[in-house]
Amino acid sequence: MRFRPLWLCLAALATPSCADGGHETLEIIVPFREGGGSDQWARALAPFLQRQLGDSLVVQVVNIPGASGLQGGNVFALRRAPDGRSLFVSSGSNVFPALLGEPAVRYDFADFRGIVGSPVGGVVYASAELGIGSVEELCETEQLLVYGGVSPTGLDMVPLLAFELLGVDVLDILGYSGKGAARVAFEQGETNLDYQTSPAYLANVVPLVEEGTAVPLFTFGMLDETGRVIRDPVFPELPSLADAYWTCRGGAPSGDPWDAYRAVLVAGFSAQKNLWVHGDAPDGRVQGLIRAAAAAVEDPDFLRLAERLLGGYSFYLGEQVEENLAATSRMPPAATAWLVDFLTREYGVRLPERAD
Amino acid sequence: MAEEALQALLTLLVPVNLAFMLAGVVVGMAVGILPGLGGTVGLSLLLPFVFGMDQAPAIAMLIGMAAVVHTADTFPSVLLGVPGSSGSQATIMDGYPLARKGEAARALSAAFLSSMAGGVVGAVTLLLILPVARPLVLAFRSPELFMLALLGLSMVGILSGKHPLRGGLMAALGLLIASIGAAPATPFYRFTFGQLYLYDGIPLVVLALGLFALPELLDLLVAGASIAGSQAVEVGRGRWEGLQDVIRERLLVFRSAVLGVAVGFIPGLGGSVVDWISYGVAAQTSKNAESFGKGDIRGVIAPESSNNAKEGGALIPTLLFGIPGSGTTAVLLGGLVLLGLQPGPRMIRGDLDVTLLIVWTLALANVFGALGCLALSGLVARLATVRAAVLAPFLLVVMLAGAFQSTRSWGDLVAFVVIGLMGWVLRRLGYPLPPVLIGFVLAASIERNLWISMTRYGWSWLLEPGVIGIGIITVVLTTLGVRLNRRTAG
Repeated sequence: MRFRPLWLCLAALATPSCADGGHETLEIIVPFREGGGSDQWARALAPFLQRQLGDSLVVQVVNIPGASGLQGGNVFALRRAPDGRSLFVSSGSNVFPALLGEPAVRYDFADFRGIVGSPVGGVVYASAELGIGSVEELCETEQLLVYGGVSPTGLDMVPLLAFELLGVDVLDILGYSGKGAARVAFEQGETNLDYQTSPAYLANVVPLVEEGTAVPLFTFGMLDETGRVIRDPVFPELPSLADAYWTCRGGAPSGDPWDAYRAVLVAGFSAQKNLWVHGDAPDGRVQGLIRAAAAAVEDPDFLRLAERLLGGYSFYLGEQVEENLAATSRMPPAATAWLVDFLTREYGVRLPERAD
Repeated sequence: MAEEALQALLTLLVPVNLAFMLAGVVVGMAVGILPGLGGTVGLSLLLPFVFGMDQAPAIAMLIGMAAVVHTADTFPSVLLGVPGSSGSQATIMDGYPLARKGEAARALSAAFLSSMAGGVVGAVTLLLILPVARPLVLAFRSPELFMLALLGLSMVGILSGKHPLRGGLMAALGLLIASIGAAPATPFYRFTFGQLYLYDGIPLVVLALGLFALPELLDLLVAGASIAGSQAVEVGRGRWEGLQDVIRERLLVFRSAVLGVAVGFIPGLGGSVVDWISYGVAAQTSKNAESFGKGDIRGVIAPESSNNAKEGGALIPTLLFGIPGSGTTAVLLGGLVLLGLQPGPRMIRGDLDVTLLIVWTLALANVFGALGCLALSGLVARLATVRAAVLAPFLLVVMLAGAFQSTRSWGDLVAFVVIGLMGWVLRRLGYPLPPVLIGFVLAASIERNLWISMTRYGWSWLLEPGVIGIGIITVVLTTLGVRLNRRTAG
């Protein structure tokens, strides 16, 4: 990334661009505010893409926040030319509404081509005060389990479905301003069951585990190419939800709730952050971008940064991005119906009718 | 820790680090002066440059920027009656009347010196409180946070002058406006009328600019005069007097700074109303309070000290828990992660050097920022002598740009104009506008924490000692405030 005088940027404040000096720009649309998880992801990747693409193309991260990521997606889909010079970052937050049929969503991932993506994991842990040391004890406990989350239609859908699958009776407190605030509530004793994504778990929960106030129970697992839920590669010592299901139910998971779980697991975690380009962009450019991304994610400097930022998962490229997310859109209609019914019944979620 | 502290100071004093801090200070002053732009925008501007920098200069630049926004944002508040950022609205209450009396320079120099003092107190408090802050943050659970938000709301009683009922009505309007968009605690969208723009609600900057800036501009144009009216001859007068005011009111400066740190460090209470809370408390607890709102220098000193001190407080939950205490710290958090730091308990164990560097930058940047603003004040104060008709088009453009910056969508401009006209009408009818803003800012915290308290504890949270304590303070403050206003009115 080139260093431009700050004053130039200040002068051009209202316009998002402060780095186009006669070069062609490669715009990476982040549909969230500066500083958030997707923004960090894009800003970490951008300089390494730049390194691969050379000086002729100036990589620039542009934030278009609004409507939990829908605004940026709509702008990308409807208002950017499919010339391969605009890319778009998707995250669980703007995949779920598409999954649930939110009418404000005007983009369809089937119309895009994937460049690069990365997974993240999630670890469920409990307060040491409960005296629960394993999944088995979690399923048998008679104590009041209190889970703190943000929203039943966001990433919390995954733990909520996990508890439902395990048959664990949990009092869900949804409405915290973020997973950070929910973790503070856990430390306060307001809740006693929580999950954090891998990087947040490593930074903020591992110290609690070390001092003996928190106990890790299971991970959400990760979906492999064959559609099975396998152990989280960063936490191989912890059981995945599939293992936990065996422990509590004594059999292999199946049925609509399980299909729904696998779909939201992909959208929220196994294929969490993805970089897209328009499907009708010139093929040569798309291939060039994929090659650049492939080299960028091999850069040792990038790997060091990504390890800290994302918790050490490996990236996937090109068609793999599309295939990963397709696992979401392949959710059987019966599973979708079950999921919508579950959210309505348990959390009063009203899903608007699709206009078309 | 003394040795590490000295080491961190020496790190900051390395020329390259100092230079980046000063660069941050310059950007901070610029976004502070421009109405509608605040720390969040400043950090967003700097974020692209952070990547690839060493930790020390990058932190010096980011913190240097964040530290001085609330010093420089006083310029438009005092000179134009337009908030320079969302943290300097209360300064308008007395700073602007002072400017109209031709005492702009006095108000400005008093504001800058108290900003500096407040900022330094904030940095020192941050340093002292960090080792013991974790249990302190953990003491505020949802029921206590709900009660604190109510306490903040009770400031409305003090700020509504002779008509507490009108104030209450306006606060309710603020709560109502805040309910537009995604509900804070439930997965519903309210009052969006199918407009994607309304999904996230009205941005704070748009509301603040619309309520305070547009009506002021319209009134100025109607009057046709310059801001300082006929007394414009010597705006530079009184700079020295302002500094003396601060020294005389040093206790108020200190009290307000401590209050600022406290409000800043309680997550979700809304650092953006710290100036109003501080102003309200100052008006409540000072002698001869009837001159507040008519150009009392104490009405400038209190909010200015608090809003700089707030940043020190807001950094506590940011650094220790990774949860932002204000909009600015939310973006800062992203910057720190890009620099390879994970905020959390490690910040006082492993990464203590970084934390200490942040403290020193906060203190030093506040000093440099105040000196820079003081040096500029003579020149900038002349703005108050420019005729409204000349100034207005320029101001309108700056305000529209500021509003448009919040989500960069056309909705920002429409909302700005609609809210501005509404504000103008309300003001003409004699309704106080600050309560709208307070209601708006606190609404999410009130709804969220009430919802969580009820789902988690049923009704039993009402009997918690902390809840009862804060409740009593709220009732006492409200009663006193209303009574005080009645007395001064009668």
